[in-house]
Amino acid sequence: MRTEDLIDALADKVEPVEPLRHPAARAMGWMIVSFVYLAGLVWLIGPRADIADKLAEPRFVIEIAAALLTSLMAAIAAFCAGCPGRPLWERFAPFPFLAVWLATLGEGCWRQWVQSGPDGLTFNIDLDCFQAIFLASILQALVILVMIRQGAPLAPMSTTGLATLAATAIGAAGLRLFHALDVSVMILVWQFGSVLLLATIGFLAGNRYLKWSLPKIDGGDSGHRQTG
Amino acid sequence: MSVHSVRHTFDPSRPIMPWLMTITARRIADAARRSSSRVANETTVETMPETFSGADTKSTQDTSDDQEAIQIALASLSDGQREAIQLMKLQGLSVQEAAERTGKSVPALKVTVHRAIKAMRASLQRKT
Repeated sequence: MRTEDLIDALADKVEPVEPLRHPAARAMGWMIVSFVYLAGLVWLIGPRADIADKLAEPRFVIEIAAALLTSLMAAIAAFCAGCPGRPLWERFAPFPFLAVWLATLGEGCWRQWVQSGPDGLTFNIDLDCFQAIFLASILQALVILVMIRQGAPLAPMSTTGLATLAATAIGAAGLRLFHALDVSVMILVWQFGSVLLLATIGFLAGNRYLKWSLPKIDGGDSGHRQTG
Repeated sequence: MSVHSVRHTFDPSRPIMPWLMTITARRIADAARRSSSRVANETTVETMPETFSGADTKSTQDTSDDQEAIQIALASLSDGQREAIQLMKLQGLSVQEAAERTGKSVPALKVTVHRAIKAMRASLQRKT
């Protein structure tokens, strides 16, 4: 196909371009959807009985806040990763908050070790936590995975990994409001660990999920291949 | 085409060259990765002489070599297998006619021919 014919074919099919909104605006929209879902979930299941006492604990509030900020920054980073020309450092934005979140859980583990010794750090198999994280994250995961397809698949694995981290982190934060589990090592292994596991799965699935989708052009030489 | 497909990701408030160059660099890297994975599964061979499959394009020497190889392969068969090949493949008899000539059943004859061809193929492959 000649270049002139290609240009004519593209011009025939052109539609008004709707520019993507700023990544932060898209992330805020997604957070609103996530909050509504989690609020509904907490209302349906019922908040934990000691929620008022827990919200008065600074460590609990810091943990929730760190998880929420991890989620927000991961969502922004995922949307930034789909915009060509944006700085690379934006993809690392959620990790400081992830570190704070991990530090609060680690501090809790240390406290339990000081109080109860090694017995305070034992944990048992609790797949309910994994299922609860999945339930608390599924809707926002589906929404963000659809939204990231609107961007350019420049870094598929980073984009899907960050998107999955965003969904599971906010799910973990919401989980703390209705799932009364306060053993730090259990939270660290089963909730935080589930977040990391699901984010890793999302990361590894990136290349299969996000691919370049080039417009089909009719006409021209049958043997000419559109290489994009 | 890639630039066209993601033109909606361009932010007019930001410079266009980083946007354009990022897409270009990524697509070049993708193409290089596809090319290297394709080359990794290829093996370089010497230039093969051009030839054609038709028998009449072969030289007299090639034809003679083929006939000799087939004769050797036939000779390596058992008597029953050789007879089956000669009747059905060389003389062109039907399986019914060959069964009547040899006194074997049709299924047995078919099995004999199958085994004979397999043995001849192995013999010819060893020769090459």
